[in-house]
Order: sequence, then structure tokens, then C-alpha cells
Amino acid sequence: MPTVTKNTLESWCPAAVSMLRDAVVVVDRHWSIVFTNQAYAELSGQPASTLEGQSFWKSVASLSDFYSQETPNEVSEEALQRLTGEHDVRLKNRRAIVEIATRYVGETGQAVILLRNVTLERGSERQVIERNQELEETKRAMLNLLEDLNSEKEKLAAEIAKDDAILGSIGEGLVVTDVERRIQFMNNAAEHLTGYKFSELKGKKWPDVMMPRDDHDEPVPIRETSAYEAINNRRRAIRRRVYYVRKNRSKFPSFSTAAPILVQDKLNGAIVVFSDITREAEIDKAKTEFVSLASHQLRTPLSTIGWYTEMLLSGDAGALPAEPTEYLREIYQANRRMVDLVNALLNVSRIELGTFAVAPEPANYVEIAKTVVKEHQHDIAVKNLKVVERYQEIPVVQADRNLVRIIYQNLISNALKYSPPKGEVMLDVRTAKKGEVVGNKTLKHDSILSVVTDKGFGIPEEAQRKIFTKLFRADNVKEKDTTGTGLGLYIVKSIVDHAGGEVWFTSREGKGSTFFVSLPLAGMKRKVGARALT
Amino acid sequence: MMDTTSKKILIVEDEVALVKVLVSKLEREGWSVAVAYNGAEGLEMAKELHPDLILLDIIMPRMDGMTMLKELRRNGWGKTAKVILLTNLSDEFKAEEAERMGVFDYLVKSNWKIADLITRIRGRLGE
Repeated sequence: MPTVTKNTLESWCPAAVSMLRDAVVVVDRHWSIVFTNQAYAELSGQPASTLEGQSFWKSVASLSDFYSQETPNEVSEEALQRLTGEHDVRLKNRRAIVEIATRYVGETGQAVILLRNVTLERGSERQVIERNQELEETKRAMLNLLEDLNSEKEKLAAEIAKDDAILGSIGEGLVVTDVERRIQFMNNAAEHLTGYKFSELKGKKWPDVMMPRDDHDEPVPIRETSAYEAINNRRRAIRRRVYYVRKNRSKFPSFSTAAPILVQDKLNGAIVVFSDITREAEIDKAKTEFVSLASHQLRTPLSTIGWYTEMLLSGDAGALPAEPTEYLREIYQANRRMVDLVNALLNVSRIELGTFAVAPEPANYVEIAKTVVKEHQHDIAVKNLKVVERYQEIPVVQADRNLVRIIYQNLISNALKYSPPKGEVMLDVRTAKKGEVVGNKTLKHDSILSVVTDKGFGIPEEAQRKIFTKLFRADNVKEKDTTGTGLGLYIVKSIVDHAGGEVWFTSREGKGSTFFVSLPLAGMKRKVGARALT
Repeated sequence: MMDTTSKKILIVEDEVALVKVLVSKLEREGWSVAVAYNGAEGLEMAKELHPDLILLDIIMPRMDGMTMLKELRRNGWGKTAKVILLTNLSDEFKAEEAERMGVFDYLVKSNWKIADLITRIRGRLGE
């Protein structure tokens, strides 16, 4: 190994310096370049030969920025100090990051400046940092996303748990079916009410398992079930009272309703909701029995008032002056209304108890209608009404005469009551064939058709839907007539339904109404009940 | 004491006010009227007086009208006694039961005018 002396170092030095990859510049006390190596020439983008004698500041243009446009005139420790460090510089055509080290050679006033281009390192370092930051951000974003997902998941789980809790805890049985009415879901209450487990019924047709039955224990026709209606008519089926038979064959009364499941107008199935109303039915029965009992008790004082008033009016207690007689008549009429109301209430309670009897016997509808009209002669005369009766010869059929009488009684008294003075009422009794269209309705059976027409107040459109509802009275007649009970048409409808017939109407407010009743020409079926209607 | 020449009617009814108006009306028609306020009393009086017609209420204390009717039909005279059930109870079963015991008038008091009732009584008495 050769010996290295001070001399050899001196002679090697320039050569070594020229080989350095770091740029080396030696400047005099006025910053004029005295020496540069090749690396500096490359860094500054100028040949080394042109650099010598040049101002250092011009060789690396933007360095002067660090001195706020005031480049120091002379080399000083302080100036060098400020130059030391990392600088972002503008070289010919490019920017670079240079790390600068300086050494002041005091005695000569010269300085050695060492510049290292660290652009790539810093760049990659920065890139790494940036990449790291990016990764950090991505990580954070991912974490946030995960957090969001988790919280969504939790929310969803909470929602599902809530739904489960709601579906599980509601007392109503809830069954979800597909469009074929196959069971897709049952809640706890539905399992409890029916006695079946969901697993037993999954995929089975709801009506096959739980066929609703009517008051007479007859299966409800499939088209009249709420699930069928919801699916086929795509609308919520009205609430109806039915009986269901549990797995253990026991029966319970229920209100059943169904709604279609429509997802963006596409039918997915139906939801059937039903409940056990045994207790409500019992309460209802007790209420109805109470009404029945109370009505009987009411009849006794009503009889007393009626009979005494009648006696006074007939002069049994001596002739009365005109004024008291007039007052007594009012009392008598009010009493009659009360009797009618009590009778109506009793009939309603029997209808609701399901205890009213149908006792068919040979019945002549025309004779019954004539009798009822005759019974109303007083009302007809007082209002000076014209009653046009048209009777076709119709066969005597097996029917409950009393029920037929109640139908005529209500329809005729309504027509008279709601006609203006001197008005006209028409009563038409005839036979009609199955399929015949009467009053916008096609007859389902060969029928005895009774049509009662008046030219009176008519039924406002908004009231037409409720006209057969118990205790309902349309506003326009409530104002004009205070004697109605709102029970008549309800009773008529109940009887007609019970007897296998139909009742309907056409009406225009201010023009009048026409009521149609069709009762089967084949007659009524006997039904044993505790009480006849009065 | 009942008049021996006129037709005798026995009212079996627990409602005093109704009894009063019925008695007044029937006597005006010239009939003899006797009153019992429950079934047990009514049965005794019927057996004793042999009235031409009995107006019989159903819901009464001690013995109700249906029981009295049953008891009456056991007795020789009572088997054919004329009876009008005059009640405020609408009960088809009771009406059918009454028919089986030969009573075809089952009248709901509050639905009947007293004048129409008199006409019906007259009819039953064959006047």
C-alpha cells in the first residue's frame, strides 16, 4: 500500500475534488468563482470553464432569493452561515433541492461551498411521506368507512331487533304471503293464535290452513277473503269479522284485514293481520243483552204513557179543550216514536246477537206491501202525498212475513218521511229473472223485486257509502227530520242479508232516491233464533 | 163482586198503573173485571171465578205468566180457558210455547193501542 504524504494529498486533492459527486465551488472574498469541479458544472448546467470568474450568485440564480434580493458583497462567516442548509433552487431549466455546506477560509478571505443535489432523495423521501400520508388517509378513510359500516350494521341490527320486537310483541297475528298466498312469514302472535309453528306452515297456502268461516260456520267464499281481495284488487281489504279454526280444532272469532305488498308498483304478496276478539265478542254480547233487557223494561212505562194518553184523547176522562188535546197529541206521538225506537233497538240487539229467527210460512208479498201502505194512510194524508202502487201478480213463497213487513215498513216510511208535501212515492213489487239488470245491479237469483222511489231530499254522495250503517243519518235529513233513529236501513240490510237477498239504491241529492230489495223467489230458509224481530 | 150478567175478564198484571187504565177501559166497555197482581194469585182467582177471558202478563213476581198458564191447563176448566198473553217481552220461544198451550194471542203491550186491544178482546169473547 503506497504511503500517503501531505504532498501527495495536495497533488491528489484537485483530482479527488473533481471526482466528487458533490459540487464544490471555491469563491474569493467577492464571491467570484475561483474553482469548481465537474459536479458543480453539471449542477449549474454551465461548462466549468465559463464558471470561473463568474459571480457565485449568478451561477445558481435563485439562491439570491434567500437573501431577499440583497446578495452579500463580501464573503463573511455570517453570510456563509445563512447559506448553509437545504435550499430549493432554480437551476437552468429545472428546480432542485440542494444541501449546502460551507467553510470559510479566514486568512485568504476565500470560502469553500459544497452543494449536494438531494432532489431525488428528498423527492422520494417526500414521495414516501406523501405516499405515507396518502396511505394514512386511505387508512383513516377505510377506518371511517368501517366505522360507518359498523354503525350502519348496528343500526340495521337495532332496526331488525326493533322490527322483530314489534312484530313479536304485537298482539295481532301477522302473516306475510307471496302472490300465491303462500306463507312467507308468521309472527309469534300468529303462531300463538293459530297453534301452528311457522316451520309447519312455511310455503303452505294461508287459506288452505286457516280457512275463515262466517257466523254460521260456513267457509267464507275464497273471493271474499281479505287476502284474496288484497292481492286481486291491489288494495287494503276492509276489516271483516270471521272465525278461524286453530290447530287443535277450537274456533275463535277474529277481525281480519289484509293489505297488498307493493314494491315500486310490483305486487309481492300480502300482509294479513288478524286478532282474537273472543273477549270483545263477549263484551259485545253482554252489551247487546243489556240493551235487550233495558228495552223490555222501557216498554212498560211506554205502554203506561201510551194507554193513558190514548184514554185522555178518546175523552174517557171527559172532553178536553183544544189546546190540551193538542199537547196530548204531541205526547202521544213522542211516545210512539219512543216505542218505535225501543223496537228498533231490540231488533238491532237481536241482529247483533244473531238470535233473530227466520220462520218461513206462505207469504204474499203484495198483500204485505198493501197492508203497510194502508198503515201509513195517516202520514200520506197529512202531507198530501201521492202513492203509486204497482203490483204484479207474484206467487206465494215461503218467507217470514214479519221480516218482509219490517222491510216494507222501513222503506215506505222513509220514502214518505223524506218526500216534500204533495210529493210522489212509487212502490213496485214484481218478479225479476236472474241476470236482469236493475238499478245498475245484476240480479244473482230469480227474485221478488221491490222498488220504492221517492222524489225527496235524496242522499248526499258522501253519505251514500254509510247509509246502511247503524245509527247513521245523512246531514241533509238530520236537519229536516228529527224523528229518524238511524236504525231502519241497518235493520233492513241485516234482514235482507240474512234472508239471502240484496238491498241497494240509487240517489241524487235534491232529486230523490230509489231503493231496491231483491229477495229469493225460492223463498227464505228457516233459521231458529230465540227471538223474532218486532 | 163481579157482575154475573156481563162477561168476566181477569187481569193478571203486576204493574199497578197499567192495571188501573185497563180496568177503567174494560169496565167502560161493560165487562166485569177482576185483578190479580201475580201468577199465583191469578191461578187461584181463575179457578174460583172461571172468567170468560184472562189477560195474562208474563214477567211477574211469585209465579210468572207462563207457569200460571201451564198450571191452568192442568185443571179441568182451565184446559179451555181463553187467554191473551199481554206482555212486553218479545220471545218467539215463549210465543211458540203459548201456541202449544192453545194461546194464539201474544201481544206486545207497547205496540198495541188500547182501542185495538179492546177490539181484539171483543173478538175473543165472540162479541
